[in-house]
Amino acid sequence: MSDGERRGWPVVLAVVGLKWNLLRNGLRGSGQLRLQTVMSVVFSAGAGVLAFALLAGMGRSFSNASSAAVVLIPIVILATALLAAAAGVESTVDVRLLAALPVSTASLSTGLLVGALVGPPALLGAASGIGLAVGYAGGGPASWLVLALIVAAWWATLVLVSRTAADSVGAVAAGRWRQAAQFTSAFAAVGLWLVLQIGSQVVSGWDGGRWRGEAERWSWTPPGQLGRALASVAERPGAALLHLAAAVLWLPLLWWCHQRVTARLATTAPRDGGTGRISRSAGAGVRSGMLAWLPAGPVGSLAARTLRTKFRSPREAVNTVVALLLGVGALGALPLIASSDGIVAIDDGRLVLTAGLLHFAVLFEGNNAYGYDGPALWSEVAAGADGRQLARSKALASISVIAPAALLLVALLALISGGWAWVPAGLLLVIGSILLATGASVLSAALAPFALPDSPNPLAAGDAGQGCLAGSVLFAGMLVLTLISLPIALAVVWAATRGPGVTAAVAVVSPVLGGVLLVAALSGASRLLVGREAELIAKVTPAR
Amino acid sequence: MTAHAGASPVPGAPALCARSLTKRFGQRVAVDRLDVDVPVGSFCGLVGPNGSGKTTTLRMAAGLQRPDDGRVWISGHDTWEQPGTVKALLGVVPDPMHLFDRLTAWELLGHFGELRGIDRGSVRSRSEELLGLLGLTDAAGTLIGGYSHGMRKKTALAAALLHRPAVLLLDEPFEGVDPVAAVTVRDLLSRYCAGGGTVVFSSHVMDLVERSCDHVVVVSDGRVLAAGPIDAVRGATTLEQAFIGMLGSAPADPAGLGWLDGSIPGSAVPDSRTGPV
Repeated sequence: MSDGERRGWPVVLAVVGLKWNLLRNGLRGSGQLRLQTVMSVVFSAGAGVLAFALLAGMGRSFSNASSAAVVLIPIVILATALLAAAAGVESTVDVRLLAALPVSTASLSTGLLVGALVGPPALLGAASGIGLAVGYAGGGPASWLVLALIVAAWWATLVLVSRTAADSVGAVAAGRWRQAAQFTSAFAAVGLWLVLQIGSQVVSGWDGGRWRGEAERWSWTPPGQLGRALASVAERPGAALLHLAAAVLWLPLLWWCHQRVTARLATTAPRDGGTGRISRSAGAGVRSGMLAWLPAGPVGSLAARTLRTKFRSPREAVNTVVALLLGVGALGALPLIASSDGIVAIDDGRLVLTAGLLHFAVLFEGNNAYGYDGPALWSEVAAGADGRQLARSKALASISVIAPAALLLVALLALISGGWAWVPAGLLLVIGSILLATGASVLSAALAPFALPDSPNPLAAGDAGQGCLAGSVLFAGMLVLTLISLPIALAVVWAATRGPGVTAAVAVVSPVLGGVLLVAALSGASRLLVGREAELIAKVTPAR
Repeated sequence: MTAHAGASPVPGAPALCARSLTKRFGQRVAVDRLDVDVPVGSFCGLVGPNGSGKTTTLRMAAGLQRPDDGRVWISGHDTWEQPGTVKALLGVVPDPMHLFDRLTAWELLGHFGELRGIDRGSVRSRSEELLGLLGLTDAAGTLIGGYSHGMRKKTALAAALLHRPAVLLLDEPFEGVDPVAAVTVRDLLSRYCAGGGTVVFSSHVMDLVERSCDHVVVVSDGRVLAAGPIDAVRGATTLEQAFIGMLGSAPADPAGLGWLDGSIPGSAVPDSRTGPV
């Protein structure tokens, strides 16, 4: 603490006021900014209603409600931390812009935390707290008072965990360990997916005894104690108060961590660094390794640049790695998970055919290709790249990334299941899948490019609605892909009962259809972009 | 060799010509029916107060921002009807200047060279010369994200010059560039103009414009107040005086800021003869 520093509630309230003004002005900004803000509110409110219904329903009508509270609250807190680390529940207030002000780190940190209670994501948090209150309410006035404290502790825990996780990854990413942050963020996304997938499968088979046993185990964690407090508040408010005291014991530690992270973030570079020496490119005009295989000329050059920055920009690298992990990892791991529950037979060679589902990963990877380029896209447009070349280069880059992973996936599935006879059909399906999904992503990128925020956390998606917009575009793309690929999927399901040869014959349709649709999508994307390159640059430039 | 072999200037056409060029942002008119001609081979300064429309004008001329009305030609070609031809003839350094932070300068120049259809040997030799001249050789193998503002400007300038364009549009090219490099850049641009190239650059620094340019365009509120050879525009005064006269407003008088005059507690003004207190 130094003299002249301002601290206390005036600072906290000033930061909260700043956050409020920034959010409110989102509704007065450009069309894109307004859309993002509105979507963020709508999605948060929708998710909030869902969370409210689930938690209130769990408390009111689930037979193991008491144990469920002890088990699920820690899991939700863990999932929140993973989500924050993976997607970055980004702060609207860029703390770097406040770094020169004489305010104490503690007050600034508290202001940011209290400010997190203002805004769309807070709607979801608020609804979840109200859902818990409705689900577990009961007893006399003392119970109601303790319940109010429990809900407040729930909100405080959510805010502290999410902000500390997101800002910690952001602070690490801005320093020399940015690859570690990248790695953490990517695996947090996969971890979140595993928590949701495996968790929901595992929990569905539990009986009362198992719930009680798990509750005993989780009750040793602070969030578990919060669950215990919730479970006992209606009948034993005194005991609930003691559990609550245990539940909030770790919050000062989290707050201290958040202060340290805030201080670190405030002094990170405005750009996301990048002082690493790249010795491979010793001279201009040289494309080595895999990039040398790309065709000469504008399309190859644009694709090469896309591939270079794809793996060097933390945000884009995380997106790519998550897409590959979710695609290859999930399709490779799912049979193992499902076989343990007896849902599929691990030795069924037809598992190889599930490689055809890789198109969702392709779409995830490339559906906002220009958004990842950002405003720097001007330089390529100024150098003469037109919309047609841009669209083709994105397709080429996407295929270059996904194709090796697809081959690996087919081999992996054949290895797991022993279904080598199904490999030709699997390869045909996966080729068609990649072509089809590349077409969808190229079209999606041209139809709805959106800017990614200038963020102190280079891994963050932002809480100004970008995540919601991205989710909507992705969901629409997946829906279209599902509809288009459904006839082939049904035909393959039928053919798979008649053997690998018939299936391969049927699967030939897949690359043909995929190729035709890719060409059509490229043509459509070119029509959307040619002559509108300036508008594309404007759309991928973050709103201010 | 130039990279715009297939795209050549129209003989006799001005390097940059705008007619009724207009851009609005909501209710605000950034560029208001702007007419301007910049002759071939000139070193032209675009000057004006903050928010006068300089950046928007340059972006519209470069094909990076679509005008609401009016037309703009580069070397006789309409920027928005013949974008390919115009971009082949142009080199641009916009402001704000976003570059691909995760490329090295070598990679960036190689990439632009390939996009512009320059052969690899020429890209390499020109890049070496440009980066060497601009003092970037040592940094050329590191990512642009780690560059200072001035280094980024110089990298962008090297990329803009790589294909030996017919016209260079530079938005605040000297901002953040160190004095030695600024002289180097000015000499480089003068040499480029002497060879028939045209430079149009925006700046707030009147002294720089006066020393560097042979033509000047003064804009205010999105309109041209004066344009032509610099001697004709400034007359018998300095460009700064002429500029203030054209705007019709004197620099603001800070007389009302009495609270700034009192001494700061604990501080004493050092005597320049005896050193710091």
